[in-house]
Amino acid sequence: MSPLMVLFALAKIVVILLVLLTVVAYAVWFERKLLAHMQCRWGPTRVGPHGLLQPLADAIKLLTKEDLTPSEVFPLVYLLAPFLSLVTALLAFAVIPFGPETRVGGMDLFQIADLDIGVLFILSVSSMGVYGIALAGWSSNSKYSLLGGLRSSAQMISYELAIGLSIIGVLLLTGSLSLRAIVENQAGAYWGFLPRWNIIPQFAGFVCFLVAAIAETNRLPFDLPEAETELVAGYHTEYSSMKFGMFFMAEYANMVTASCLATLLFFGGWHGPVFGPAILQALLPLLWFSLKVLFFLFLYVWIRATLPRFRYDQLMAFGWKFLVPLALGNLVVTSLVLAIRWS
Amino acid sequence: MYQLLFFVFAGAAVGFAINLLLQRHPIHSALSLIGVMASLASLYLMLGAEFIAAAQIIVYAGAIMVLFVFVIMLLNAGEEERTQRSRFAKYLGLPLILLLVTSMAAVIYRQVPQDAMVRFGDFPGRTADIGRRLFLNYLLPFEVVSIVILVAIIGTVVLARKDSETEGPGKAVVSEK
Amino acid sequence: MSPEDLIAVLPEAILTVVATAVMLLAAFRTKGKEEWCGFVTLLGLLAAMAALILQWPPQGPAFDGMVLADPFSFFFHLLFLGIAILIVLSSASYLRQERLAAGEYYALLLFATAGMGLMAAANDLILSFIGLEISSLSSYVLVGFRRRVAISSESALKYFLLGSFATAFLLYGIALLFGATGTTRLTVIREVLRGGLNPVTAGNSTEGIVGGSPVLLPAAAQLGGEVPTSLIALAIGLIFVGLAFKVSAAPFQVWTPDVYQGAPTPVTAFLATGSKAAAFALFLRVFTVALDGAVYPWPSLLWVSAVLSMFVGNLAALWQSNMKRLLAYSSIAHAGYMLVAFTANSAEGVATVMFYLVAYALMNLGAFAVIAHMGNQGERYVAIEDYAGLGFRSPVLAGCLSVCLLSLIGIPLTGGFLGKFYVFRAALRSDLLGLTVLGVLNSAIAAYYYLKVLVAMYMSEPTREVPAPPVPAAVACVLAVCAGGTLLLGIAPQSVLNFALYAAQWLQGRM
Repeated sequence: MSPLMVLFALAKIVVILLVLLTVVAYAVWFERKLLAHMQCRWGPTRVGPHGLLQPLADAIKLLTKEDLTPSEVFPLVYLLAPFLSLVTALLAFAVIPFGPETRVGGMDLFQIADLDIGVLFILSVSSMGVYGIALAGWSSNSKYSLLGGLRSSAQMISYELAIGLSIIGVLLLTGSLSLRAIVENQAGAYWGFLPRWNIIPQFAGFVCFLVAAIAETNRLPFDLPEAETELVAGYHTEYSSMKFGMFFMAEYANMVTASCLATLLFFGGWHGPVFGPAILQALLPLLWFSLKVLFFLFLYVWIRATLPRFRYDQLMAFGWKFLVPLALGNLVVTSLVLAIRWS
Repeated sequence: MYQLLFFVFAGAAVGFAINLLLQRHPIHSALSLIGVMASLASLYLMLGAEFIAAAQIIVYAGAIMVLFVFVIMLLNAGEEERTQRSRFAKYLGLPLILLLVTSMAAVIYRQVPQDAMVRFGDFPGRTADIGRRLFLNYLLPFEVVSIVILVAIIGTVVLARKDSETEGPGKAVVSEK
Repeated sequence: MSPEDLIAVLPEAILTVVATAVMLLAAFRTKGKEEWCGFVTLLGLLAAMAALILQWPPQGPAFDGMVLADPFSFFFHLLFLGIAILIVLSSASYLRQERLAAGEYYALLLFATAGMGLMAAANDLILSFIGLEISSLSSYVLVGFRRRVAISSESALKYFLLGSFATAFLLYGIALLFGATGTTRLTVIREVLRGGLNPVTAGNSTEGIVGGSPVLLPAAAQLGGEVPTSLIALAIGLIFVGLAFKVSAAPFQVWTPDVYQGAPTPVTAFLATGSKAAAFALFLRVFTVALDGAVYPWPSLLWVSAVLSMFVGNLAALWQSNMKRLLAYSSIAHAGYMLVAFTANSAEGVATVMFYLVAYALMNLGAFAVIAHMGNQGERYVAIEDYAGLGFRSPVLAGCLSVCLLSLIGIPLTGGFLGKFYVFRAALRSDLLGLTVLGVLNSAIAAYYYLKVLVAMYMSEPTREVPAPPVPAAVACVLAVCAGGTLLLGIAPQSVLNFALYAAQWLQGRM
């Protein structure tokens, strides 16, 4: 590997990281604004036009606030937890392809690494994300934090299973674990007009994935780990300033990851009508990809504005008694159909 | 480069493992164990065994250890109390372990040729090949493993469930011994 | 997967299906489910036995050589299924009396039996290991089945922790063996170690390689076909530790008395007979098929372990006052006798171990059936002094126990005598004079503590009131089979011995 390529790879990582952090920051603005309009309010309006500079102000506020460490915490783990949360949340982007393979000087532009096991990588990274929350809850040495941490670990283990099972249907259709291969398998159209997106043959899998992804990211209506009516703020009750900010960023980064994953697995990734001059042809897939991701982010907010929170036992029962059987059924049907088609 | 990374991760694995034994608080031990798993996964990844590395993280670090941590948190287990260890363990245990480890190291060092013992990144098995092997050559063991898991589930339920009326003597029977 | 493949694992498949069915039955039936579960379990075991007939005459390897349905496995399957049937028969009244959950109990028993069957039939260390895990996990749970009794839980925990540790040793040994030879298939390991098969091509023709080319060359290949002897010796040592634990041979026997005492008595009987036999089946197959005793020094390892087991078991048993602990130490000693025959490292030695296992199973099952019945609710009457005067109170029960104990001592006309006789004959034929002398000496020591029980039954006055409930028909049936079988083996051992010899020679044919 030549030094130039290493430099290029590093530059790519930095650019993607910067874009991602900006997206995360503006996801917060997007959510506040959208939620406000759905509830007939204005949302942030003071900082910049339409409150567009609000994320910047928030960042400055979080960075300059006093960093309090409660006296009875377990210091090492207490410090470790927010970093773990954020790192695992950002790590997932290492394998997400934003556009078709576009090589410049032998280096792929739109993806950091096309791992052979991309899907598994994301699953493994997200499974490590539980620790951040669980350990934060435990090390804070407070009852609200502990309950939040316990709830979240139980919830995430339960719904991880449903996520994994719902993805297997797509993997069966593609025969590969690489995210790029999965997207490329969705090129073209059924009967000339219906896009060959996985959502059509895998509708049950998609529903299951979407619901489980919302639960996995601890968003409403499954945000019991931080249910403010009963647990103050759940696992991050005892955190302040930027450590709190890191949890916050991790949550939104996870949302973005889940949206990206839904787009890649079920909505054909960057596929869409491509036309015009060469430069437009190269950039249009990026646009389609971003629009689809935006759609899922919108869905997150929409659901938050619409549905009330679940009770904890309902949440568990829903996961184990509805989603997991649904995903298993989907898996059985998919493999049967494929087996019949192959034989 | 590869050798440097190997020593970093191998050292981390051993270090975490020793730390696991020394730590007094169960959470710290559990975290050390996660460190061991992660280091091992990195070693697998360096060998080119991507699937096994991911499986190691998902299954061990992501599922089993989360349950460990969960249970420790749920029980709110405090620092372990050290009892007076048996003299047998104190004076014989450590030397015997060292003897076992050194003899193993010596045998492997002497018997396995020095050159080209491990070729980094050479593991040719893609995930599809592993799957094919698993479902063709190793079909029977693969299926039979499900019985192991079923037995484990039944066992847990049997040992941990609440008492029902149909089962068990009315009053607790404590045996004489 | 061909029909032959299916037939080779049909008994295990039936056992698994029936086990699941029994559990469902227990879940959905409200009335009389104990009887129904026991009945279905019995039917399942008989069906598995019937399925075994399809495996005769012995066929070639199944599942690409993963499983061998040879006479050796046939013999052990018959033994396991027979043991399981007798255990089920003697469990029914025990379960009712202790009010234990019958569905799960029988299901775990069936799973354990299936796992043991796999241990006997597997020709691949991976499958052997999984079989071992199935039977071990089921036993751990069965041992702790009386949850409200402190010593039962304690013994389950002890068994689980020590057992997992022993399993780790076994697995480590398997890994080293794989690293040295590049395969986990016993027959192929044999060929590689003989030098008859190039490890690389052996790997290609079998397993250990993914995607066509070798991943990590086995040590044997890197040394240019030279066998890495000390690496294999290390592997043998580790595998030996794991298996010696399972057969409760010294110095890995410490768990035995506590676990045997804490477990529900029918489960103790199952551990002492079934688990031990399965572990021996694996022991015999791994060591005689894969590792040539003339080249690798495992017979001397067994020699030491055999002597230690006999002395530890017999000497410690002298001081016991609890029947279950007594039989636990006796079980360690008997593992020692069987290891004596195994040390002989001959077809005759293997056949003798197999014969001894049958005789030992019969006499132990009989003895434990009596103990389970005598124990009464909560296993209250398990001390030797509770047996005082049993000979006068219930002569039939005492008679059956006497036959079993006499057989355990090794009195002529019983299976135990012939078992010991064949053991020492096999040892002498392999010039193991010292071992034989020590073994005979131990038989003499052992007589003392068995006689102690006999003396209590026929020559002592009872010191406290011990109730004598009527013997249920199923238990009577077990006692009749065990006492009758023990005597039959003592008078006409030919058919069993000949079949064992045939199976052993078939196994050695793979040498």
